[in-house]
Amino acid sequence: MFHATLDSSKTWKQIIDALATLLTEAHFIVSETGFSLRQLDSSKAAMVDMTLPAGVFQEYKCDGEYDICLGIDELAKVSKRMAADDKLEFNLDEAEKRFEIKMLGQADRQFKLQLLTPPDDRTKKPSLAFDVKAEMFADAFKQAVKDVGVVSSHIRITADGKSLTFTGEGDAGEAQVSLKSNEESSLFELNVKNKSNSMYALNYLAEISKAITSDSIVIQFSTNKPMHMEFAIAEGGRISFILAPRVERR
Amino acid sequence: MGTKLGDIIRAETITLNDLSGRELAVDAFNTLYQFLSGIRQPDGTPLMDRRGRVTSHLSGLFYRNVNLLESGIRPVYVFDGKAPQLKADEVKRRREIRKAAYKTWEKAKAEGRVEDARKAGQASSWLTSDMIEESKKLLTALGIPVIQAPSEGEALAAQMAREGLVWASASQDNDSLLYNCPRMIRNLSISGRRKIARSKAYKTVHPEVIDLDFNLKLLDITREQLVDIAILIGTDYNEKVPRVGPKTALKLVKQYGSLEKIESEKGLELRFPYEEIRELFLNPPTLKMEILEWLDPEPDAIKRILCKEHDFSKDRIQSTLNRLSKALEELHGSTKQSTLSDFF
Repeated sequence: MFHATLDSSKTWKQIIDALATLLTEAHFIVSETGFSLRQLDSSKAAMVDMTLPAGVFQEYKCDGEYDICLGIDELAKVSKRMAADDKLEFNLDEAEKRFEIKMLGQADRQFKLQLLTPPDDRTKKPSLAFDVKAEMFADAFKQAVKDVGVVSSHIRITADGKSLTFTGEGDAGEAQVSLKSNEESSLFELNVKNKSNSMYALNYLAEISKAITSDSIVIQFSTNKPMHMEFAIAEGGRISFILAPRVERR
Repeated sequence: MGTKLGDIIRAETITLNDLSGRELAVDAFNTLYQFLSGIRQPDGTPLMDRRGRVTSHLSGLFYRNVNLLESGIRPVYVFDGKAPQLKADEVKRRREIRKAAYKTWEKAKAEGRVEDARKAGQASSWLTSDMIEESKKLLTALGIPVIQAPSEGEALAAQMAREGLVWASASQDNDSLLYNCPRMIRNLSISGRRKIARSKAYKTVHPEVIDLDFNLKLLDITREQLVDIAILIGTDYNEKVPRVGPKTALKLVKQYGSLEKIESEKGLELRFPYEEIRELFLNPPTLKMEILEWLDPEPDAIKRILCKEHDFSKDRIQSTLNRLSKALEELHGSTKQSTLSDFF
């Protein structure tokens, strides 16, 4: 048995939009402690890892653990139908294999989405250590991605003890965005164990940027290793993206 | 067309991605005919430009090769040269069939019998020299090498595969194997969703790879014997022997060893010059080959041929070309996207 309510349809939309940047199916695991989701995108270049503790929801009841696998397109279409002041209610109909979404507002509306077969195995949490950890205003990160996107389809991120630099080059020319670690900067934390630089695909970063609805973001990376980006979602939830780097062709 | 060895040959299903980075010699005529017969309206009318010239082959060549190039496959098209004298009867027979089919098509279309019209239309496909020239131009504009074979294209494709210039030969019929092609690919140009004949249902066709040595070992015969089997069940150069299919042919060849013995010991009469036919497969004309070169596609030349000459939609061609150039950049750039499994 699973039942939850959420007072803000905006929060739910943010969650679905964030997942839709990388996934075509959302595989939620719901348990007594809340929602979790950990999946790779279809090209296995990126992972999304999200936890929504039970406290995110106003009412939350779950006895046991359930796989709730749904099509992202369907979820997005349903969330488009939500009015801003709708209160949401979620239920699981195990017998009919349906996930129910109720929108309680000027009218009481109910959608039942068919559950998809969950994948055979669950994605494990990777253990990664990083040489660089930086916390900054989310907007600074988004702008840097957009700036480099003007000239390039890849973005190189470099960190030394003093600054975090985003660079890119393409047929049109070069771009560089530097964030210095000082009082006035939008970069408010920079820890560098070893100087690092690594390249990532801009199309992924642009999509992930769209998912950021928090004020700040923590990024972690090492030279030619995956980058970890983490931010808050849904007042109490966390979402992180891990993106594999672009590497030299051998 | 070609020899129907299907029943006794084992193929392994693969995906286009498995062929990424490989060079493939494609039987040009075989492929163009597939496009001509396959890319048609429901009543069998081929695609045409404003002046009524058939463009089915150009549409097929363009979109299919973009797909192949995007998958990192490097195709080279081998065009047939002069057909061997022995094929004259077969060529004449095919021409008559096409002429008859064209008449049937016009009649069925006029009478509104759509299904009959479609079938007849497909069978009436005829490749003109203009179409061949345009196809070569389009391929060249796509940066794909075009080779003119001295005789049968499949024979040269087999030679190229043997010499290691290409990884495999791609064709729908099995003649490549008879020409001693170590590896051949089927369904390269038709993979995807296909309509099942005479029904509304679709099936998915996947590319297949056929390994010659593996099959010879499995059948426990030599390649010469495989050629003999083919001759018994009919090739482009001879009619089939009545009441002999692939399985019977295999049994006969294994039991008696060769066509000569089948004739002398079993007393089966073979009314065609089988020694000469066998020679065509075992020792076809060869060509001294240069190293193959794949160039960048030339968008302007492609648009000139397709949009200016033949009224293809500019927007559609442009967006496909954009997709292709992105894919090629991804394939040939100095860096590539890694996957997370490379790290944990």
